[in-house]
Amino acid sequence: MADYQIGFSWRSAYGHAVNLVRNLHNGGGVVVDLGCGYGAIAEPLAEAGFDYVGVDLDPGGVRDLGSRGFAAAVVDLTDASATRRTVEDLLAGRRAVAVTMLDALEHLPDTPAALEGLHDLVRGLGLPTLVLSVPNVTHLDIAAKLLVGRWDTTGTGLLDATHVQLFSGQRLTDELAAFGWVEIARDDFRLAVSDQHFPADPVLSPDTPLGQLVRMVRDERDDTGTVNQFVRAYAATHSRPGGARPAVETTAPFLSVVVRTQGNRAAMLADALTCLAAQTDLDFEVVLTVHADDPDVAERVTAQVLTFDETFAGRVRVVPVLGGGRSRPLNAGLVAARGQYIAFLDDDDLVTADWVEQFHAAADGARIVRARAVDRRVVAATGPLVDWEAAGPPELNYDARFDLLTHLERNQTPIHTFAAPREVVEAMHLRFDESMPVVEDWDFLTRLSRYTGVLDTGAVTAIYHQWDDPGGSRQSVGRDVWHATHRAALVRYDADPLLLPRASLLRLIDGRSAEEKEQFDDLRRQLVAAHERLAAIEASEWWRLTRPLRRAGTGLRRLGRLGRRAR
Amino acid sequence: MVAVPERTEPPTTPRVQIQTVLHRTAVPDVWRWFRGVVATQRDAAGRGLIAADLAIALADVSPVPCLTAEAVTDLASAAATHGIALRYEPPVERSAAAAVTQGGGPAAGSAGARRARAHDAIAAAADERDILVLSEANCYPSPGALATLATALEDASVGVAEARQIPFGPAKDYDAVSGDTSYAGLVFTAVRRSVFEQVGGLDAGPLHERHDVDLSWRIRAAGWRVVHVPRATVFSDRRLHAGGTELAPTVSIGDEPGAAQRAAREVALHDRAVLAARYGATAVRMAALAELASLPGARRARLARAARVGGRTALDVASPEPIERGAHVATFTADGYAPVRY
Repeated sequence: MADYQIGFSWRSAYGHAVNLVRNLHNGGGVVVDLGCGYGAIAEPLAEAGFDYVGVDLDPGGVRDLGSRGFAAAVVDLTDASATRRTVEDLLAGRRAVAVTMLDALEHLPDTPAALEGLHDLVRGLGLPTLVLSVPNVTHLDIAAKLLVGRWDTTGTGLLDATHVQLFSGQRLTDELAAFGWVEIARDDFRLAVSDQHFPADPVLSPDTPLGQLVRMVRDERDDTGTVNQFVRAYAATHSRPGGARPAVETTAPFLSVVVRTQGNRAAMLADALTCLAAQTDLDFEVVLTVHADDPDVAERVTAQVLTFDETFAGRVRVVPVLGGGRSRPLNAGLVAARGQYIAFLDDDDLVTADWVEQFHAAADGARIVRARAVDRRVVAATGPLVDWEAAGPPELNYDARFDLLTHLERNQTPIHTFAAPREVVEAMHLRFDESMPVVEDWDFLTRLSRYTGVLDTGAVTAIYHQWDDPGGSRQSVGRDVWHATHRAALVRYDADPLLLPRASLLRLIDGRSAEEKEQFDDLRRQLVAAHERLAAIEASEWWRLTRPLRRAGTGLRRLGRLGRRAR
Repeated sequence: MVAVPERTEPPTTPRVQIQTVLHRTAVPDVWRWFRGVVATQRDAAGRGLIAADLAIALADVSPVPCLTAEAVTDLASAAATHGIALRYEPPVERSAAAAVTQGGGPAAGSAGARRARAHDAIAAAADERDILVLSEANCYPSPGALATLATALEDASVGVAEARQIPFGPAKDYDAVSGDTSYAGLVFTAVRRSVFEQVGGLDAGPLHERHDVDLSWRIRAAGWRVVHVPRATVFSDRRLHAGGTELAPTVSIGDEPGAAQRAAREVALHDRAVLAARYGATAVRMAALAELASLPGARRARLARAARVGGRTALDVASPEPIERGAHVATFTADGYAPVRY
């Protein structure tokens, strides 16, 4: 058996666990420490006014606790009924306010059985709070070492050789939820440099491009990369759900179309919805986000949806969205979406009938699928008969192929020309940045495309309306805000290494060479033109006639210089 | 959503037939059209703007029927659940079709002419209907489209009310206040049945395609107004293409015209020459004939062979008699039949 006689420190997982107990139960009471080992938290809890009792399989730890004046007993935690009896004996009628289980769950072979038994125990004790501390197997150090083929178990620590279960933050959350536990507080213990930070390897270093890349990838997924121990408090529900896992969505459509409207331009919304109702591929749902504080607006939009045929109207869910800026409804749509892919459509833009079909045909489940848009100038209400109308022909201004470097410089992908794989978006916990007043879609696509890459369909299936008059976001915020927001995002991206798809290098160099050659050729053309103009002047009659004047002027200038030297 | 005032007690609610002609139309596209038609009818009837007993008529001019008997039954059953009577006219036998085209001129056998005749036939059978909505099958009217068109027809001077196409449509101009326009397309257009009959229906001339222009101008020459109603929108399934593949019908974006566009040019010139003769535009007719004659010979010969009917060819452009007031209503622009907005 490993030696777990570990001292207490406030700057440790133990310290964080005690803090959670203190914060949740400042009135004192009994704390039951399951898998207590040598009871490192016994004295701090006692000093905080709690009565401490511990149980563990290791008699050495139990004896040590007894010698320090704490009640403790030997029990095998895999035996739920024995554990319950032992704990009840130790409590002797007192009510427990908290049960701690620090560095123990990962030692129990059957996690569902352990959580089930734990739930029964806690219910029998009057539902005290459960505080867990579990090592994080997805710590950045472990992730980085796995990439280079290393798995180093140790005597204690993150990869303690006696651990029989390994936990990520997600697994911990899912397992606890499945057995009726609700997280009520967390105070995770973080270590940027864990006990797995060895040997010296570029992949572990924050100063190498490789190390920075690994950090960037890890941090994009969630914020637990530097969590050493998950330290979390849970409340048990009265009834245990019996380990039922969330039902897998089997009827999810291919595409969730998140439509963004403020409900104040009904005619345009009707046209956008009509485009969706006329799709040739109906394997989609519409999440119609109504961004308005007035609840009547959502009701009006719902009534509008119900005027469509049942086949289409039945695919539409109206989601009222309160507060926030332009990104808020997009994020609400992300949360509500059920499709394998997510696409977006503003209520003033339109799509062709094969918009969904083209996305569907190309989608591979992993990459962003990108179509193309045409720009079209539109104007609002030119007369009593019309709410909006086209003011110019469609113009194809967007590149056929997505290029990240070009994209970073100028957006070539309007919001309704890409569909994002939802599982990847969810795995990355990716959301639209609500602090950005504009270019939120460009930023979202940038962050996602760095990992997923982009699959170009080449199909032109979207119409991006460029408003000649106020109405669009460009007009409402001003160019300076656009530039400032864009620049700020670039600065943020620049804090990480830039991940480019394969074959980018030559394209980058060749593109730059072509640009430089174009600049050089332009300069040469200007030079030749200047020479020709000069030659024309020198050959002109006017130049010949004015030659005496120029000579006289030259002579006068020479005389002037001589005069100044003489002085 | 359109801003159409609701009426509580309409004096008389017009009875409507919405009709379309199928030509190699895919079954899902028929259902899409049907879904849209049912919704827009329900909306208009719900506002009391039309009678609830809608009639839907589909005529098929395809070489083989677009719809099987089962598909027709399904459509009719679905229509019946909404209180709608649905009629489907299958393609006529080839021999019968040939008999119709005999002596009908070079354009009589064209797909456009067959569509026009089919529209006329199902319109003629629309007993006691006040409004005909002539529609293309590859469209989906927005829910408010029919109500808005019906409202436009409440003006006694209006004979034809045309919906606006989305996401793309012709850029032809219209009066910003009255909606008056040169002609109405037939993607989703409401016509008074009496007016339709008064001018002899769609198939009144040796045209390949532009029966829409001819119908509108005949109606306007008869003293009725033709109006564009932009708040009535209809989705028209036109695809965009850029370089390479052509999908029909398409909107070309700055590409060189392909073979389909070149063939369409020949047809357009033919129809332009015919319309110019009918509406008294001699110079326009001469220019169209001159350009038609200058088209590449091989292509022209192919067209002539393909369109040979009764010993005549497509190059035999008919010269119909001018109609009264024709010159007053016709608008021949550089390459069309109405001024463009942009």
